[in-house]
Amino acid sequence: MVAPAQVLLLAFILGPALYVVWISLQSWTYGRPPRFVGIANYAAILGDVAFWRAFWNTFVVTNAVVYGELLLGLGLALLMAGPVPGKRIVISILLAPYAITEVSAVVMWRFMLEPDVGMVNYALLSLGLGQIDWSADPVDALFVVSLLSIWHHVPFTFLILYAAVTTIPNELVEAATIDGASSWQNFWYVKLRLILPALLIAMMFRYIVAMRVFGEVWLLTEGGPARLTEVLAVYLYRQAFKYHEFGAASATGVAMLVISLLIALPYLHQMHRRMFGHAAV
Amino acid sequence: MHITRRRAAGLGLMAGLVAPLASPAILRAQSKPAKLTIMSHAVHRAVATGAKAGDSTAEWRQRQGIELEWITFSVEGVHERVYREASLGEGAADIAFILERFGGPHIAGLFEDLGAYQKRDPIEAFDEIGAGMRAAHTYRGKLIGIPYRHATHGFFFNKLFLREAGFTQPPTTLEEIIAYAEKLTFTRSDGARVNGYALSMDDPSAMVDLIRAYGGEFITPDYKILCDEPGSVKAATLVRDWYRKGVLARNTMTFKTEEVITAMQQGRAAMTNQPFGRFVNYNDPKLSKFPGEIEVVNFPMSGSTAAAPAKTSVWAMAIPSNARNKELSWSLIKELSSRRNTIRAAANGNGPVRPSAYDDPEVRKLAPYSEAEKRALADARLVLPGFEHVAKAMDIYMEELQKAMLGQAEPLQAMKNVKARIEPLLPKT
Amino acid sequence: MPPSRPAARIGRLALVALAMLWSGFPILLVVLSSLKPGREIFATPPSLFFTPTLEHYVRLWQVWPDFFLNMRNSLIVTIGASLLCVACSTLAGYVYARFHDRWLTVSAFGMIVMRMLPPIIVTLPLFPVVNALRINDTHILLIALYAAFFVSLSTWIMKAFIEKIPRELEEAARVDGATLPQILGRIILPLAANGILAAAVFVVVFAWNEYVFALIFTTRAAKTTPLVISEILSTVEGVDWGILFAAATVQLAPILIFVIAVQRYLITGLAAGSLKG
Repeated sequence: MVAPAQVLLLAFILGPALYVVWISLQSWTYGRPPRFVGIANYAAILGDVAFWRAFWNTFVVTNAVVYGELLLGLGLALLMAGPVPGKRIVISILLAPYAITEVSAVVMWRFMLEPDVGMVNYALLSLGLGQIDWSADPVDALFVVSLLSIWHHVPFTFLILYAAVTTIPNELVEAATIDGASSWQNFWYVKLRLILPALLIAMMFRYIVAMRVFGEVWLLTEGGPARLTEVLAVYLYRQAFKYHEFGAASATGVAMLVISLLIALPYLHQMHRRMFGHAAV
Repeated sequence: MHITRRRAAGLGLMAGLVAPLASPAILRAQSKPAKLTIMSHAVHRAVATGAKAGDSTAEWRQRQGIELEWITFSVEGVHERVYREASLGEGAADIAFILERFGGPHIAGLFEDLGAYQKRDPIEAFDEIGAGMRAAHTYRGKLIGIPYRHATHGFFFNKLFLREAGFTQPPTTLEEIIAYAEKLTFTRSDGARVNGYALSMDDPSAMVDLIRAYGGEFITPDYKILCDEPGSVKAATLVRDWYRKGVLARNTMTFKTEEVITAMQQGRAAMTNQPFGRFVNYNDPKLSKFPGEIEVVNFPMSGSTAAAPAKTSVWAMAIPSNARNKELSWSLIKELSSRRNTIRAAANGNGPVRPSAYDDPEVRKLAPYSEAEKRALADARLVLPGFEHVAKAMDIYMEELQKAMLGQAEPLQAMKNVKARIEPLLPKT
Repeated sequence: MPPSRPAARIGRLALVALAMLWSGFPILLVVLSSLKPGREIFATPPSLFFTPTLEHYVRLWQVWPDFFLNMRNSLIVTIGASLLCVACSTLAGYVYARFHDRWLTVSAFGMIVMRMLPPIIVTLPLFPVVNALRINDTHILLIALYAAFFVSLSTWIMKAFIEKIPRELEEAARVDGATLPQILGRIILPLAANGILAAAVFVVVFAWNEYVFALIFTTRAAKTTPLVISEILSTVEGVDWGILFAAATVQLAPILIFVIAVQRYLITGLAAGSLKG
């Protein structure tokens, strides 16, 4: 009965993943059969300046996004855990970005940040603060990508942390208060400790998903100017569908997979121990 | 059972009526699709089905009873999509429009050899179609595309802006263009900012005009790369300086051809180099704020008023090897390539692949730049010769150029980097 | 709970208001702007008051006639993917909840590992395969892909919910002679309904909004709404913001309402799918 689920996974995830590893060892483009080249593709991408730039950009954006979301999500969770009027409505609005597709998110933020005339840039210009020059300055562009991503995914982080915060037993907090703990000490020593597992899991999942960022970058700058805002997923796309170098693209894919697995290692290790500890029963 | 003669006659009559309906219907259902799918750039649909001089596909569609579905993309996008489709078991595209500089021997295998189709079912006056254009789409003797459009560059300027900036004459040499460009970067009386020049930066097709105007070259037809020589370095330096001085818009580096068109139509730029046919777009009262004010001439050399070798590109119609209705595709290609339709498309703003189209009075009336375009075509050169890594080579050039524009490298060093990185990718001849 | 001082309360309310503004403003902006007359969209300074017009929606219909066809594709794919995913994950979740042996644990662990795979990397190898099978540019392909990438999370959620159902109910039914399908249908399904909804929510939102697979695997027949919106965003003649906003509004309206309606399930689903397990 687990067969249907496993079939889906094997056919569309595991199978292709193994095939990708195989392609990464070949030199393959249109009009030619694949030719075995061993680790030449890996050598090629590891020697490519553009790859390391994409790697670095991905690293920076991922970290900015994950920590940004954690701070924001935690703040929101703690905020909402307290007395708030119309909680259901408020949460509905906080959840709204989750329901938006990344394409529309780009539309919204581009509208606000359109050079010269977008309302945010217009406001900044009239205050004499210059503009967020995302179409020309790679740093600004990656900033917008991060901002967009945070806006889009905070609901997810917020929900996980909110679920965790609302399960903190009140007695513990009260006991600490009676013992003379201030709000800050309450937060740091009691609440944070209790939600730490949820926090770490949220962080891990967000790391793994955030490093896959593609649509936001592709729709905003296509990785330009001068390929300076490329991220790993865009680099892969370009290798595959613009340069038709399927071997190099696959090698990039394998690299992304390895990075994901490394990030997930602690979680997987813990899961493994927990699950296989049961199997003996 | 008793079959009366009347009943038999009745049955026979019915059979006689039904049979001819049935068999061709079956054959029709098997052989004729409801529609053909064309993957192209928007400009092809515009010139092929344009309102001004007529729809080249109308008669064919009526004759065949088949609709056409045009799926359009950006210049880079159409190739991305087309090659992906063409590499599959069965593709969605019946006709693909491809540009010669995105081609190469490695993709030739994805398309049909149209030489064979031409022998069987020839296009009208085939030899009239420019030999150079046909050669641009021939790889190792295999003709994979029938040329449909040449996009040859001319120099555009906005006469109104020239007047507002105090010029009485258009610029006639590259040096004059440079001098004008700075003055034409100004704020108009209504507060609108104008940039002196607009340049498309998704590939080197606009840059090569500047390079050649300085007497240089990017990559020669026999695959020698000359981008670190003075002509090319001067062009890179010019663009870098223009960017610094604000002559080029701040977001120029994300400009594709589409953004340049919009900039000219909206009056955000004063001058540019683009295909002659854009004259129609820039002076279209429905889309442009300056109809009748945008003029086009041949792009001049540096230090002389002679015309520089203009950049040209050749779009051709190809049939993917995995297309489902190849005979019908060829039939439409034939139709679009006829003398009559070449003239129609030219009047709609297309660069015709038959020089005879320039002599047609309708074309001369609706496309007043025909004379200049014909002159440019005589000396025109492709952006770069086709080879397997052409996409990467073009990207490398733009990447290094943009680095120079951003001040991360000096133009000479950037061009040296270009040469060092592209040289290993060139075919060894 | 410590008594809330007025200053703290005001501070709290201010923060909540700020948070709501941050979350909702961009969406509100686009929805309202879709009703603004074309000239006023980029009027500087931005105008707050305007006479609403439906011209962009009308032009959306005229200029992009396939848009609503593409929405139909999105709908088909979303419903299909959710059904497939939930069906598979309910079956699998039941097994993982009720039975334990080494191989099952291995396969369960495998499911978790496969969740770590970046979706974009399967596009390359799937391309030739998908074509040999003639399922390129079809709903089936997207349905299968979307379901495959969420079946892991959904199974985990279902497992957590099914574990809560007392085994005695099933055992009693079995004693009465019920078959497995009957047990699943009559006992598990109704009691795990909350879990099913929780599992479904994620797939629904993902499938309705997905971009990358739609970009690479669909051309025409199965094109989904996010892809069309991206095409409107990159049109040749310059972006027509009015039509773009209308399109975005139409696309987000149903799913936004859906998410708000099922927010409770989102929370329980997330808790079950990631925190426990």
